[in-house]
Amino acid sequence: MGSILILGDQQFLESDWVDEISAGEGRVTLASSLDQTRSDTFDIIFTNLSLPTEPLSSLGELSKRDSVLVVAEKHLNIVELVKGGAHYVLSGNIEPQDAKWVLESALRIKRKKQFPQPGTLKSRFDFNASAQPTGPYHLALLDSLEGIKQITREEKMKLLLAYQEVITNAIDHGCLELDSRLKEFLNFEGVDAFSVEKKRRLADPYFGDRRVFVEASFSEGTFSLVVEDEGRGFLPNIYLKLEPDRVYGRGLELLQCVMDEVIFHNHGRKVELTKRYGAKI
Amino acid sequence: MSNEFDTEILGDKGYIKVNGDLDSEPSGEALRQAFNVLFDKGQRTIVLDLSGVQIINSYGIGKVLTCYKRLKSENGVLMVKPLQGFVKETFELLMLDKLLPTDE
Repeated sequence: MGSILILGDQQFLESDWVDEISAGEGRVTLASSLDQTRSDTFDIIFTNLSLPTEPLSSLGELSKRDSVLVVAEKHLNIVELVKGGAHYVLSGNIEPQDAKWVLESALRIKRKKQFPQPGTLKSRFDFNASAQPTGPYHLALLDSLEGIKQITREEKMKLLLAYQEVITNAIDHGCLELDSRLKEFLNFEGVDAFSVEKKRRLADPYFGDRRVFVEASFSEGTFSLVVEDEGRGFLPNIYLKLEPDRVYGRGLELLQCVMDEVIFHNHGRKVELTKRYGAKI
Repeated sequence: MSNEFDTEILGDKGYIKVNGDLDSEPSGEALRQAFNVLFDKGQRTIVLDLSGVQIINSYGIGKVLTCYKRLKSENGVLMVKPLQGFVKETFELLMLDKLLPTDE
């Protein structure tokens, strides 16, 4: 159907997903350096080699005019890679479903004989609750999207708001199992019981070692964010009395204003956010 | 970025100039401390100047509302300097513009 080159270091070539891809459609060639590819050209090039700023031209002989270039980048140099010709960038921990997702998308493009659009990004990472206890939380993928002009600065700030909400909920309510009502109880210095108890639980490995998993992606004008925690999850209380001066519980309102879809799975341990902008050229 | 906010008393009002974003613990703590400076001096009309704030999330809003409630419990008032941009939009989304009067 199509020819796929998987070009990378030993660890990359021995990844679980390579076997799955090799067993799928398309003629798959594995190589650990450009020398090994001889004079072949490929429809899709999937690489994790450190590439110069112009990755597509450095792979020039290997690519056909409309090759799709997929780059796996640990260090999040996404903007430079996309500007240099990468159509898809995967960053962070790549799992089989990520590699399959991007290759299926690339094959679809090839099948339709369309020219690949740059700027399909996916990033996956995880961390302990105690490693990033407080914000502000940043998502490098959003900076990259702004950098390659897929979203405006204002759109980025709204998505960042939504990201911070779900990460905070995953840590505070999911991993640390804190109840928001503690925010209402202040000591004489105005310090709330929530902050005090949060500090205590972060230092307790039973709570603090729990992990938060993040998967963020942008493809064909749609931003998708999935956050999962190892704690008890967080389901917003939709029956909270709508007091205008309520100190907590506004996160869901904000999420629903900013995102098109907010879906909770598994008793709130996993939340999925989607925002559609429509495809940009 | 300094994690202290400047405070000032002009006439019968106390002012807090918020520097940077209100989206995390350092800024929340700075707001609490600046608020305490004025509150402990007996100020019961306090104005927040958020013109330097780019991002405010539900955490920051919670801290603002904690200040509001502490003043309200002593028949005080929390006000804001005229809002703009993203902060104004967020306040309006959550209908807080109805709760906190503007100090023109």
